[in-house]
Amino acid sequence: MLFSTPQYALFLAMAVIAVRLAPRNRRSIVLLAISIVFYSLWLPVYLLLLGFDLAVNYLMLRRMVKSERPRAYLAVAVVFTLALLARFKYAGFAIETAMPLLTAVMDVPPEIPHLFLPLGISFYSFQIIALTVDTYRGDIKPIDSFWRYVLFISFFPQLIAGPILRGSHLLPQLMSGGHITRERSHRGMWLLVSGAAKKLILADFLLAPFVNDAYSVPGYGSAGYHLCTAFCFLFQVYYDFSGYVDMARGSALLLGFELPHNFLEPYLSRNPAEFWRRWHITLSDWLRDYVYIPLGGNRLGELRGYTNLTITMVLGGLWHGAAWPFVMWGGLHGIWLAIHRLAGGDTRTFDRPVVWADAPKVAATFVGMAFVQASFRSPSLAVALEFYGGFAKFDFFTGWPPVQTAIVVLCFLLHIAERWVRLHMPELRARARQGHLATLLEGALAGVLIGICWAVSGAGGEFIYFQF
Amino acid sequence: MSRLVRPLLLAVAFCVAAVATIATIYTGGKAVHPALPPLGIWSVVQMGFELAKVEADAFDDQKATVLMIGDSTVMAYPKGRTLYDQLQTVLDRQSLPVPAVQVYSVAAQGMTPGNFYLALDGIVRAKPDIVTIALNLGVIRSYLPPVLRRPELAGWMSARRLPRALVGLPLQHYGVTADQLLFHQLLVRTRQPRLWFVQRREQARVGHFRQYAEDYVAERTGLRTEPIARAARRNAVMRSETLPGDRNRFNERRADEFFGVSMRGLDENHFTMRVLEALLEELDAAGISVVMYVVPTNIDHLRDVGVYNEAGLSKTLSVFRAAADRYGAYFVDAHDLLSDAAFRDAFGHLFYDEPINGPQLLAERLAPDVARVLRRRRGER
Repeated sequence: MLFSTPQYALFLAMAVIAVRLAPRNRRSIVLLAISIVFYSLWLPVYLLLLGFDLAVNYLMLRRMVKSERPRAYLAVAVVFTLALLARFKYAGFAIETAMPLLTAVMDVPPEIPHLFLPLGISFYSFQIIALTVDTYRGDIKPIDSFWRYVLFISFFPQLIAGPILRGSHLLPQLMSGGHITRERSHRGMWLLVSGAAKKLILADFLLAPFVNDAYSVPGYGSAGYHLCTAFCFLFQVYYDFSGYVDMARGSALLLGFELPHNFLEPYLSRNPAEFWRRWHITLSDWLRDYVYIPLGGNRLGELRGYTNLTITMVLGGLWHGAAWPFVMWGGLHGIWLAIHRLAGGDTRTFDRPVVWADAPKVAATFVGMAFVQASFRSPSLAVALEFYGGFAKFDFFTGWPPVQTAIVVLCFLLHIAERWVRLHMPELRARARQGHLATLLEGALAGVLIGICWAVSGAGGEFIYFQF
Repeated sequence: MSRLVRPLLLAVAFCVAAVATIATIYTGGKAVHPALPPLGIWSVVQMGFELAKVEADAFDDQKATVLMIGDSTVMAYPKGRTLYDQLQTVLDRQSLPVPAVQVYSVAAQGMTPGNFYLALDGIVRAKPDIVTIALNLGVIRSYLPPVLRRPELAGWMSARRLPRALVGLPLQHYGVTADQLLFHQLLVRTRQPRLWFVQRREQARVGHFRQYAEDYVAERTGLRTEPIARAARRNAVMRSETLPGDRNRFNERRADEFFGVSMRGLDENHFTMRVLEALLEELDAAGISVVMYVVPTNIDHLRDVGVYNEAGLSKTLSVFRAAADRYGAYFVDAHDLLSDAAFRDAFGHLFYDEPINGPQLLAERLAPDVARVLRRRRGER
């Protein structure tokens, strides 16, 4: 169920009422039931797969906790989870890639399986692995209730497209039954409204049609036209995914739970390293903690460090999708990060505030990101290469479509405004008037935004990150 | 009491502002763009009208009804020259076991067996004597693009068929997930489909604002996008060969995208087959005779671009035939009925003027089989 649909609005309203009416010590049970219903409202049959995945992993987790050889159980759990992910997500890709070899070796080449990707499998698989590894490392107390384990993974606001949660973040909240306050409800409502606006107005209505048109004829038009398309796609994917995350966080807040930020204005980054601290933060952290550092990080020499970085980013690309453009995307990011580090680039800018003097660095990173992300949107490697061929015309100052250029400028201004609002939110909230007029204005603003969302939502499509 | 004032004020302001915004946008939309874009729901409305006519005829013993379901290959022709018009003409000339035969159609662009499975209850309720199902080899894919999705048809599905639709069939390939199915059921059961149609129509109109904005800016500033992506897309997506008569043909990549699955050999477990079989099963159980036919395919062109695969196509046809045999349907293979010269475009639409009248030739091919089924059916009574 898409968060931007009327059916989700109905579902969420019923869920919020049910949770709020339930006694606090029973909220987990109510939430679990709601989450199961939520998942089954997509394809009921895949609920069995999710159940099987969780049952096996929980069993391994409990065995791991009690065993004297926990590493073996950890390995079984991780391999099992990845195998299931590979079966559904990567089997077709692997066979397709190996088809020339298989055709030469076998009399009858195997058929390419076209399986429907279980909703959220990439996200919940990573969450399962994170919980198991964290338990193994002793970072969190071992979970001792299967139903709480199921709820942790299947908690519906984050089930299908993250954020990828850690046990240390959500489990204590689940144990306490959440904390419903007026402030959280208020914030949740605004996150839902702003998330819907980002997704439906900016991503789907203003940006997606132009990007779709341009990508259907890659390489056609000037380099400037391609660059504008790439900028539009940068904002499309950002508003699409961050809109989803806002709605996920908003839904969770209305239920009394706080989910972490997943984006911190990524296009205001001053270098690629900072970008990954601001973009899809929970995935970046996951890749760092469970891939990059276990591979050795940068402790095993400089060359090995660069290799690990590239491997991690390629795996990150593959996580996004079983297709060569994603591998290319991950590889380009890895190489860019390695070059940045090799050139002695500053990797600690994240902790410093962005100031106007940083504008050239921000602009350079933004343009670089547009080049790298161009492959992310491509349905195939051939299309990606054709699109890059468009850049190779080098006439970057011609063919800028006026409306889309204006939309890119608008998106950038909104991006800056978003940062300002986030940083000044506590102050704004403290200064906000509490009178009836202020309440009326607040309600009217939310109503106008939702009205626009509703009017344009015929153009609404699936969230880009649902496919992962 | 005072605790309720703030939420109430918030709710009232919210609702008033939302309704005012929607009304303003829709009114403005009508002023800017009065024409309506094609939208799936129109097929649903049209379908309702046509099925009502079939249902009315079901009580007439002197009349047999043939209902044609399928995609644009059935209906995308001028009035009087569609396939169902042609079939009507040909059947009228034949000696049949009933005084009159009336041919109806609920075909629409891009409709697939999945769409008709959703609309099945309406078809069964209309009680036609014969249903003809058009199988277009060009729409059987490993996936279905979003433009083919018409989940709103699910609203008319009877409660009896819901469990199977929810868990037993791969309807997700047609864009129908459980939440959509239940949501559209809710709309129909609360008697709100008309409201929903109006809403969707207005949303579709709003979708055209952007194009107007582009044209407006271009006209007034001279800053026209170079190249215009939409026009470029039209040309490049088709990337057609220009042949006499302004016909176009798919290149190899597009031909493979459209016909690849059929040409490589359709698997009997493919989602199209599973849904088609469910459709045949339900029609058989309802006592409705079925004539299932493969629409003419431009084999000459597929051969030219190297997509044609005889063994694969044979397998596909045998899978169709086996499904028809299983549920007592009559199978007509018309895939090679016409040569390249008969095809108006790459999507399998035919020329309908002399010297080649494609729909008429197809109707003449189908009519004897339809008549045979009708005789068998009336003989049984």
